[in-house]
Amino acid sequence: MPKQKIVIGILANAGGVGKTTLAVHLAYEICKRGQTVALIDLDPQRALDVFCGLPSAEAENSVVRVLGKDFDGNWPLLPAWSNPNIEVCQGHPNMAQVANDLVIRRRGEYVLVDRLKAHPLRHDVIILDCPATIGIICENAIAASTGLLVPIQLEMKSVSGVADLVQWLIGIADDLMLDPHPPILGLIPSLYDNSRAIHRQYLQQLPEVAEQLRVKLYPQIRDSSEFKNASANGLPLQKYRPAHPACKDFKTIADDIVTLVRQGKL
Amino acid sequence: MAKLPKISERFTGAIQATDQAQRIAELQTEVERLRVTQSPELEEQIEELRKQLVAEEGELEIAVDSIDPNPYQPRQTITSQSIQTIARSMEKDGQIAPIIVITQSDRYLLWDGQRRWSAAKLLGWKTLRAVKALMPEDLHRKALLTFIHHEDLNYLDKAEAIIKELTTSTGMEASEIPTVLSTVLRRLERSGEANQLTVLVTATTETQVQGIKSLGVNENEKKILLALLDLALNPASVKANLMPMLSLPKDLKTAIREQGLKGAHALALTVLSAKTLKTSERQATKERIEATNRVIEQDLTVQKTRELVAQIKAKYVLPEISESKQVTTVVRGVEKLSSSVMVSTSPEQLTELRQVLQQKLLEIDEILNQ
Repeated sequence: MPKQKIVIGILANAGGVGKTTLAVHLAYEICKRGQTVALIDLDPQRALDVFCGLPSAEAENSVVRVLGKDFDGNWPLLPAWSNPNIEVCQGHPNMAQVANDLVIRRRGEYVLVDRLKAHPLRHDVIILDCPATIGIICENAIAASTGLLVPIQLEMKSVSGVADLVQWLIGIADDLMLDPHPPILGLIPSLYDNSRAIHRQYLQQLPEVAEQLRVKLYPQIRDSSEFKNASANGLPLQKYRPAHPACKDFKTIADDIVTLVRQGKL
Repeated sequence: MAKLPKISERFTGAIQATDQAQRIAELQTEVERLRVTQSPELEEQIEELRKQLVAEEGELEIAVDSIDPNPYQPRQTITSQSIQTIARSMEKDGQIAPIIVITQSDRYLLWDGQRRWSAAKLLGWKTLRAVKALMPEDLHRKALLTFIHHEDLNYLDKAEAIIKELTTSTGMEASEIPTVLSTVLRRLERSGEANQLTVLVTATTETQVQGIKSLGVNENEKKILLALLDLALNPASVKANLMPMLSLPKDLKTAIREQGLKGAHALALTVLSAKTLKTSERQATKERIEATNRVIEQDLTVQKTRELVAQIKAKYVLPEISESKQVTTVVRGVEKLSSSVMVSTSPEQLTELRQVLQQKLLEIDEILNQ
């Protein structure tokens, strides 16, 4: 059966809520299930480098070149954790400048999707790590995505960000005339700390909201200082502490995405 | 720990947008379905007819000035822009499809090809290729059905065409139809039976008759409902979207016909009436025309149009006067300010208080003396 290429945009509209953590660990889990994965870092903060233990890339070896006007189709990719089946297209601070240029470029919102069409990546799943703020980079991610994942930390800043994001998404998918609109594949409660009352309360309220938004709600990903220790070592938790219980938190999402790849449709 | 605000409140906007998007998706599906089940069939029928006529009698060149427009053409509004578009294409590629005409003694009645005919006149063409058809018995009805479900027919033309058809098929006066329709719909809404009509839109004629009978409506109401259903129209949507078009002021009707103003915008602009603005008919019309032009020039959304209307309205109608909580609180506060407190207050602060009070007294006098 033919596989379907899946492009997952990870969006949050708030910083520090676990976008990159989700991107990296999901990539690792999907790869473990026999699929090849490309991670594209669209965030000028290029946190993906740290999580993947990669040295910073020059602009011409980063996604900046891919979105540049004269991209030749030769994607700059480096394997993460020496695994040839997970490759990273690194980010660069110049992405902030690229964003400004895209605003006035013809088809500025569609540059990434145009690149992926003209020069397809070989990978089964492409994961887009997006900047924390909504804007033209995120619009590029949305136009290129077949589905979106939204991590949500159960605190008001992140919750508000997600509320605005969902509303914005509907408008932007219309404006960009995306057909079909890339669906939100799920909300993912992240950095969950069971010892905090606010997290417990909001986790209880979330199913009702998700239902009204007609969006799937995934099981929460727990907060753990081991995530920080793992990323400091440039490793995913699954490699750094394979027995850590948080490793299992990505299972359902990874299973769902692999199912989508195998079904050959989204 | 203190009570936390609920997260669902933050999501109100997102949920509304989601619901709206869902609703739009459903409507689009419905439009697609209707298009497949109705309009193309008619377009196909016209195409079929055209082919048949070409085969039977062949095409002929007829003089542009021997053609009369169809008085039953429901598409009253043909913008000059759409004619220019057709004209450009005809100039470049020639006339592609022949128009369809009906022989009437030594002249021709135009049955299909209004825009091509107008474009030919614009281009100064002397003749058009045409095929001749026999006079259909229900010319108006066929033209109506073709156009009623045509997407670029505006609401006003649709409304007028439908009313015209209803007067013919029910024998009722054009003026009483909207009233009868809204009366019966209001009653059905109250009894919760209104949605049964929606189901009947796509039903067979027999089911429609049975369905209407079971609603216990009077003879006139029955005639109107059945006539609308027969045209595959939902009576509720005709009432909500089309009937209000009929009572639009003339300037808005003209703007719809000639400048492409949209129905929803026109409805928003009707708020600018002499009655609501509490001003003369002339002044209200002037404001309305100015606003209409702005809506068209700046291509305002319905929401922006409503905002503009509200701004204009505010110029004429003073905000309503009511009890102010803020004032009540201040009055209580001042009353509570006892002399024992003031005795122990610093002179600077008392001076400041006096200044503030004096200033406010002046402002109050000014408002009260107006």
